[in-house]
Amino acid sequence: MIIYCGKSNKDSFYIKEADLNIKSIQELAYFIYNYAILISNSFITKSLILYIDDALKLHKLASELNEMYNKKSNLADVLTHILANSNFYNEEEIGQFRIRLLKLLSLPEEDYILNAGDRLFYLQKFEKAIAQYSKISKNNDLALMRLGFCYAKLQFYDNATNYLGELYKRTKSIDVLKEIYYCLKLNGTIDRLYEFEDNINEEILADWEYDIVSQIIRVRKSEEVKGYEDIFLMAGSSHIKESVSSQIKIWKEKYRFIG
Amino acid sequence: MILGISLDENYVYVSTDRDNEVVPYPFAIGRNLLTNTCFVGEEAKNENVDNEDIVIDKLFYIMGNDGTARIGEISYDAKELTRLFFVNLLIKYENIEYVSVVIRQGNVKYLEKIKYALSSILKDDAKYKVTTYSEAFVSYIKRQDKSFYNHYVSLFDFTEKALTYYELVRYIDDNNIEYWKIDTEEHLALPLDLLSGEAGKKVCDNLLYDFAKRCIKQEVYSNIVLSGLGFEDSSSYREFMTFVCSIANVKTDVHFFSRSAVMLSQDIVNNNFDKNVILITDARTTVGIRLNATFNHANTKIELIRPGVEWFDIKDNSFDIIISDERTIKFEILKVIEREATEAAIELPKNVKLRKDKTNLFEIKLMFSQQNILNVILIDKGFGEFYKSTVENTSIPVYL
Repeated sequence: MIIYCGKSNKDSFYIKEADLNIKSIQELAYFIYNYAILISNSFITKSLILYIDDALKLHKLASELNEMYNKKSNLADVLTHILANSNFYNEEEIGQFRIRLLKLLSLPEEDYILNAGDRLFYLQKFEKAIAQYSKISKNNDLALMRLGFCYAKLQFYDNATNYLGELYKRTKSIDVLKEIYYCLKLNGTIDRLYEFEDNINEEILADWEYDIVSQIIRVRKSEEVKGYEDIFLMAGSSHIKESVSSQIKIWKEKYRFIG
Repeated sequence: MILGISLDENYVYVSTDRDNEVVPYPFAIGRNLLTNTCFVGEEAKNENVDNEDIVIDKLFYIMGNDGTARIGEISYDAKELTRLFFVNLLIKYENIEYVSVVIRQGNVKYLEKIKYALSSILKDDAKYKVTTYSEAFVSYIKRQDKSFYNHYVSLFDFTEKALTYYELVRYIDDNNIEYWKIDTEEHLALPLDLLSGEAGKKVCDNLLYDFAKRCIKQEVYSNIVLSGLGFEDSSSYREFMTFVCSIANVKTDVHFFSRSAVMLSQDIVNNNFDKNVILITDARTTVGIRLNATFNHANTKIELIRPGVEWFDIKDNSFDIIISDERTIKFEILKVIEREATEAAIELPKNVKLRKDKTNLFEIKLMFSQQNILNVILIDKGFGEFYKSTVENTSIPVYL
């Protein structure tokens, strides 16, 4: 199937709930369909309706949404209306969405927050995910572990080690200790390992060492590392400014919520 | 002031809406190296080439070959030489409201350079038009009574270098759409200098007569227009003139295209276009391009390019599509003249993998490099910030 989306649109709309920008009605629909758990009543704003009207030129939809907004219509109805007018999802898919939405809304609060954190983690919006997991990490081991993972992904290995360490104290899980080992290795503070466990089997340590070396070899071959290496190789070339700018842009996107 | 400019190999003819006068300028540019002043047209041609003055008189040739020329120490490319020429030409005219420049054929090499020149001089794309003789011919016909074009209208243009034939054909298709088509132009190399002497004129008359007999195929013509310096004294072409006068009314205007270019300018300024008429000239697309796609959940044929659009003016011609399960995109090409449809297809870039959740967004760019060559470019755009673009792309030329 080929879906015609019209002329490319350059204007974007920032979705603060997920820290991402969308540029089309299809992207907005995709976000609603797949990340409904991140959406609350405050999602439908006048500025979103204005964007649909002005930038996406979907005047009829914008006018209908405006009416729904003024009438304070049910959020599920508003979201479904957007999906139905998105030139993206068919009736069957929208039906499935409604069922899924009802299931989500019936989740216990802790599961709901964990799910929201997981969707943000999947989107690689780690700082946003941290905000969710932190709400329930006191009593929820999964949230605590994912907090550790989020900080590790952001390369804040001290924070990651602290959260994973707390989890290890609670669970004494060897898998958690392995994650702590990785963080300490990457942080260059492997001596701290014995703060968490003073009796680790030498064979297990050798296996972990082997794993991490294999991972490092794999990462060195990755596109991301190649990108950094290319920048070094370009030293003196006119393209270096372009490449560095592009890399800085990626970092800014990744860390734009930190601090 | 509204200007109409026609351009051929050796001359640039300028008409205005103020009077009926047409000023010919030799298509040449010169520069005095001591005073650093530029001059164009007759002034340039009459200048003696010496240590002080440089004259470039093969501008048309340089433009067509993307050539360069040196003026003093500096080497100029064709684009800059064209700009210099038009700067020094247009400076002679005050309060320019609109300019149309027409050339014989829709050749991108000339069109782009003239457009660049006018854009840099007038600073406003809404103040000029660069197109072909055919478009000026249409503007001229539109000004006439309907009796002028109720049958076929033909035009012979006899310049210093060539003889060209134009024919206006009008028809209405099954969907009640009216087409005005400027039919095939035939060229005959017939240098004007052949005309010198009685014998030369006789040969020329014979050639013109044979050419006219070959071109004029329809039964009824309303009018025949004779244009170009070659028809300045048509009394020498007895056989040719007898033939054309026996067919239809004959009108001679040596500077037909520059005067018609003024009419074209006026049409544009006054937005005098009939939206129910589709023009098919060498400046316009002879095909419509459609894409079989889904829009608002209905299978439909999306018109990406309409027939009769000025192909070298198509700028922002890109569209987004989402592909879920096909690796081939098919286009339907509706040939207006032949009244038939053909198909063209482009494959997705090999390294792009299709995801299952309708998140493969592609940009299709349609660009004409010539009237009959459409370049289709397909670029992977990822899917917003959810999936990054691979920047993988592919392109094919479609010969129309």
